[in-house]
Amino acid sequence: MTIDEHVAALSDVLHGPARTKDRMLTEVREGLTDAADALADAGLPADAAARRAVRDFGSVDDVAPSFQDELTVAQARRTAVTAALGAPVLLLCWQFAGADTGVLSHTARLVGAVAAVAALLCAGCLAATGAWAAPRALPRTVAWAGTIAARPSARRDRAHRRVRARRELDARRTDRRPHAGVAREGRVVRAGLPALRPPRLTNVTGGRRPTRAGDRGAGPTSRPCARVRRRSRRSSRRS
Amino acid sequence: MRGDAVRGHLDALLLAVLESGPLHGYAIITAVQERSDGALELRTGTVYPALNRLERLGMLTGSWQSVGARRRRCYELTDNGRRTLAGERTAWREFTSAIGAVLEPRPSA
Repeated sequence: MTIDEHVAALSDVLHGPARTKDRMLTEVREGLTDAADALADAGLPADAAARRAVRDFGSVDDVAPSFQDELTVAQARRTAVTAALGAPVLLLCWQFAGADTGVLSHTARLVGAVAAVAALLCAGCLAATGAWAAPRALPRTVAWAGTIAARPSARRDRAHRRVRARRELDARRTDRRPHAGVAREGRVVRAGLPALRPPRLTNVTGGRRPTRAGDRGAGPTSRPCARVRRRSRRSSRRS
Repeated sequence: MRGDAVRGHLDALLLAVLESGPLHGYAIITAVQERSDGALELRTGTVYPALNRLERLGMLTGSWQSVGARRRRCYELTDNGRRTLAGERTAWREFTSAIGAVLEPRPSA
């Protein structure tokens, strides 16, 4: 695609004030021509240089939204200026119609009020899209405002989580029903089954463990298997 | 370099390049490329709307200059643009300092 074809394709999809659009497209055409000339000076053939410049510029679908945004703002500013210039004329009509108290004067006053509101809105539009809208410290201000606003809410969320955790803990302590999979008092509880007591571990050095009633001759290594083996040795000695 | 990483700083790049003097669109693009040693290649189609926006916001002033049969639109930094550029530089230093402190923590003594 040549430079002129690309600019023409871009012009077809853009809509806005004619003067602004022509200025932007002229600037684009001159910029593409400069880029093609630079590539040609670097050794590329003229056709290839033009195609490369168009490719580096970007497709119409990619770049058109950015251009259209500017044209839309330009159109809004032009409309705002036109409306703002018409408002004083209507205000003058309102003044001239003020002496009479008939329907015409009431209508004139109403139209004058609408014109005043329109003038204020137009002034706001011009200010929002002009030099006063330059984002000097706005991004940082927004960032800091967002951070400061988030801190109380984060603190509040942490407080809510603490309250919720405390309520769940209290509920578990007062609720006597075993809950499936929930550890209670250090023991694993299965729903509907009695709590299983974990096996007691003996001291590896053979320390004495507390004896239970009915244990006879329970020594340092009183494990059930050890007791069975001792009983069988005793019975074999007797025999 | 990722395009999305550059996109958020396009305005600051354009203002910085124009600090040394007025330039036209294509010269601005090549200046950014040269200053970054080729790391930043701006898509030219995004630069012209950005220049137009900066002019509308009062940071640049544009004027047509005739070079033979051709016309080029040249942009120059305004006082408002210089103040904005200074603010962007300060913000960038704070940002990189904070991110660098997290990514490359200093060893504790």
